[in-house]
Amino acid sequence: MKQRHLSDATALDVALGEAHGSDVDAHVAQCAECGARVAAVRDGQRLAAEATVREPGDVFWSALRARVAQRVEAEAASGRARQVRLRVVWSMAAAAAVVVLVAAWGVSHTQAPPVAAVQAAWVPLDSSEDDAGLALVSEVMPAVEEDGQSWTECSGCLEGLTDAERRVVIETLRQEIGRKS
Amino acid sequence: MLAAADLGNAHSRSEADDERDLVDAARNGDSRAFDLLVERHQRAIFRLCYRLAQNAEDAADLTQEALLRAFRSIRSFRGESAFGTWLYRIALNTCRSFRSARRAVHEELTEYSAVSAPDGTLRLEQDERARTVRDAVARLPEKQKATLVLKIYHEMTHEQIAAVLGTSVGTAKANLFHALAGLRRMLGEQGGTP
Repeated sequence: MKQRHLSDATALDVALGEAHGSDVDAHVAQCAECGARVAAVRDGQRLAAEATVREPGDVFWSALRARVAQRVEAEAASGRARQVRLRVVWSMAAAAAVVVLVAAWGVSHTQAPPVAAVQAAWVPLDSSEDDAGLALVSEVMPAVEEDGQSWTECSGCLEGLTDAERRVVIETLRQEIGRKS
Repeated sequence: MLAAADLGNAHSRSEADDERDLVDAARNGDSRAFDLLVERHQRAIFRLCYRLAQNAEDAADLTQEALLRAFRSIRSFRGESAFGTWLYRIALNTCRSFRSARRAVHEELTEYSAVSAPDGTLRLEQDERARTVRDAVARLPEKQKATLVLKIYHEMTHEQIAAVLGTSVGTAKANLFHALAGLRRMLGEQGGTP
């Protein structure tokens, strides 16, 4: 009968002293090939255990922990800043969307206003030749000059009038203008 | 935030419960809770990285990177495995990517060496024999090496190793078998040169 060898996993269990059946031990005792495989694994285990390393001291661990904490904090801070930026962008986008919606609603619900009479923003005044007021002034001017005073000086005289006198002058001028036009 | 009183009350509770609370707090952004997790696990992670990277400077760098990755993705940790197992997995992946894209940044590591050198606590250089064995371990195929390191130096069970490596228990055992047999073959029966 052909002898069946141990699987790698079972050979490992035997070598490491982990749970396995008693029939496995019997097989290893009889089978040179499986015995050699188990021995090789035990040797490998012993050799691996020789590769010891020295343990760093407390100073090393403190420094490592502090460095990690520093990087974690920086990472968390940049994450928070990213969130704030994202929130601002979303808020602005939402506000813009609201404005667009309101505008669209307004356009669709507002009736076109009746066309108003177009009123010019600027209406040219009558030329000075047609202005009755200016014509009156020009009539007054020679009289003032005949008295040897300039128009400017005359305007200074008018400033000295009382309210009652000013009203009389204005009324007189209006009557004159009305008569002329 | 996890209150300081809660953190200090760990004696009356199981370590697993305490760790779960810390993980929950860290998931909610409590960096102090994460710092306590770092304190608990940094040694194991460093030892793993050291065994895989073969030098203290790279190991310190890899440990930082692995822990930072853990912080970044802790929200995705659902507690289906132990937190330590999850961390080991991250550390192994970090070491793998480090091998494929080795970084040339060593300033932080020099800092550690400078801090630790005066009191002689960071003396990771071993005698020639240990160095020879470590070199042989480094030449093992990736999965065999990881399995050997987790079993021999971290004393994990086959089930734990399978969980970390994402394999079946049978595969983990087969990898370990070949790793140990391969080590012996490389070093000779007496552990000398092959």
